[in-house]
Amino acid sequence: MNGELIFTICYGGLAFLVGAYAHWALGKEYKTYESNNK
Amino acid sequence: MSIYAIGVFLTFVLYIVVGNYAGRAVKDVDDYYVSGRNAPTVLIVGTLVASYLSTVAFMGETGFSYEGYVIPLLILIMITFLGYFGGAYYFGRFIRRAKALTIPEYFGRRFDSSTLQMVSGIINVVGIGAYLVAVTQGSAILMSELLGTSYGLSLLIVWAVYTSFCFYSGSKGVILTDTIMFFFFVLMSFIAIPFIYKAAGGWPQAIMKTAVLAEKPDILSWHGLTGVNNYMGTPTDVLVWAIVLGLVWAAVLAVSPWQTSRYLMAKNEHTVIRSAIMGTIAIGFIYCFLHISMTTLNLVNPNISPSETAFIWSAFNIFPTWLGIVVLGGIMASALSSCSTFLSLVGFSVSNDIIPHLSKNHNNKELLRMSRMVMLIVGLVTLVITYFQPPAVMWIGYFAATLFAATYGVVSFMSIWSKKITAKGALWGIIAGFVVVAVTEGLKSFGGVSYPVYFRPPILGAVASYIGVLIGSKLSQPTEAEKKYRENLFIVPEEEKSPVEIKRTRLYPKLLMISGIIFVIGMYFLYYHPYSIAVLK
Repeated sequence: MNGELIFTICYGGLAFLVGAYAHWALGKEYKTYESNNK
Repeated sequence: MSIYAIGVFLTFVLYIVVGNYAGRAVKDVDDYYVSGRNAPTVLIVGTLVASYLSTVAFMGETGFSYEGYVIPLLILIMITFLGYFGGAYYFGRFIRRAKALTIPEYFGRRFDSSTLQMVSGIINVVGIGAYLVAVTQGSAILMSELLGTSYGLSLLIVWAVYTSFCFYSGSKGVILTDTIMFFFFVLMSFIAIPFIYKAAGGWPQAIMKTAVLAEKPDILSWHGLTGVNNYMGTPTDVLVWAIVLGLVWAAVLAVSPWQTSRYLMAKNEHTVIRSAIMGTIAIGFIYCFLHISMTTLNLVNPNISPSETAFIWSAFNIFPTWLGIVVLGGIMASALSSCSTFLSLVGFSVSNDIIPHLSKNHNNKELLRMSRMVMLIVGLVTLVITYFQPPAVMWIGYFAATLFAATYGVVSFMSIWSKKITAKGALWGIIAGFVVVAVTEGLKSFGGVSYPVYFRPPILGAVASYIGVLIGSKLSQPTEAEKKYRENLFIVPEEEKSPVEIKRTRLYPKLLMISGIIFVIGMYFLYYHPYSIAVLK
């Protein structure tokens, strides 16, 4: 795999990972609100 | 007066009218400083991105791509993706919760220290003031090229436009005009791309020809131009440069006052998170598609000098007139949006953080009138400094932007996540970061001192700031007031727990993930596929 292909994957890949992390972090936090409300 | 100048003038009229119209809704200092804390996601995204992108992005960086460093620049941008969400999630939403009027006020309250508020306010005025001078100079130079008028007259026009609504309407006007300007330059970027490709021979031929351009071999390779006579020596140097600078700029997005202060105006904390994610998406799209196309301009004219004028050259020479007007208006919008945000922040820091007695013994109306007066005076001082200071757009801008990454970075995150940091630690951390960046940048600019890429001034400043925090906090103990304030920051307001709001906010990370997939697919077909065919041939 060459540098250009790695870059092509990483540019969107990192955005995807930040989104995935945000999804996980917010999901974890919001779950605690739900359990506290019960 | 040319048709281009008339077009740009019409956009000025629009900003002045909208900005001043917004000013009529300003009833108290909350409206003036933080737009009543009720701004929806669209306005926060608009002002976040518009404050971040200036002529540095649409002139300096488009020129950098044209010169042959597009992929290194995009690697840097890719790293900055970490900044918006990281900043909003680990810092931004907490300062929204603190309900301060300014970032220095947040520091002052968090550490129960008016000295810290004042020092931080002074750093805001010096750092953001320098950035304001640089961006105003850039706008005036652009304006004088457009109109053919003297630098002084162009400066006066540009200054009058943003000061006119900034002083009257404060944040209410700034976020509204910022959002209009944001849509303006996003629109400009995406409409311009097909025209650039068309002028360069059409896509994908333009990419294929650029990939094997004899004058600039490697222009589209992952490391760009390297070797003697180029910006960097080896591909490894390029990679380290992009990663280190990417991290510095991610910190700028996460903690700089012209980004985090936008969160103070958000309607709620959901708006903070949503705006940060949408900001990442907007930056990702603007950079990857516009900047790749800028390299193909070399097929039309390989000798645009200075390279910072490449996009402007396109506006005059290859775009239809209407698009030229849109592009010039868009570049000017990117400059004005940063100017108005910076002026408002400097004005707010002077009236709220540096002369705090101003806010005592006055009712809300009097305070609002005085804040406006201070803003006008700050604006006039800026005009005088900008006129007499020789133009140095890039270095002052760069210095001021990265200054805050080092000065505020460590203290901002530790103010939320550390139980041990004290007022003394925060004060020493902020001062150490500021002094080290100012001295090392000064030595670089005026003493010819150069630094290895791993130890650039912002990195040295961040390390000094951390050491300052550690030593200062070792020599003192957090007071009860500091502990209590920090504990209160972790109490989530009930309105943030609304299931409807939560459900909506959870859509945004998915949007970012989908955008990531679109970036990969788009970049593959737009860039990698034609590039690899051309290079392998």
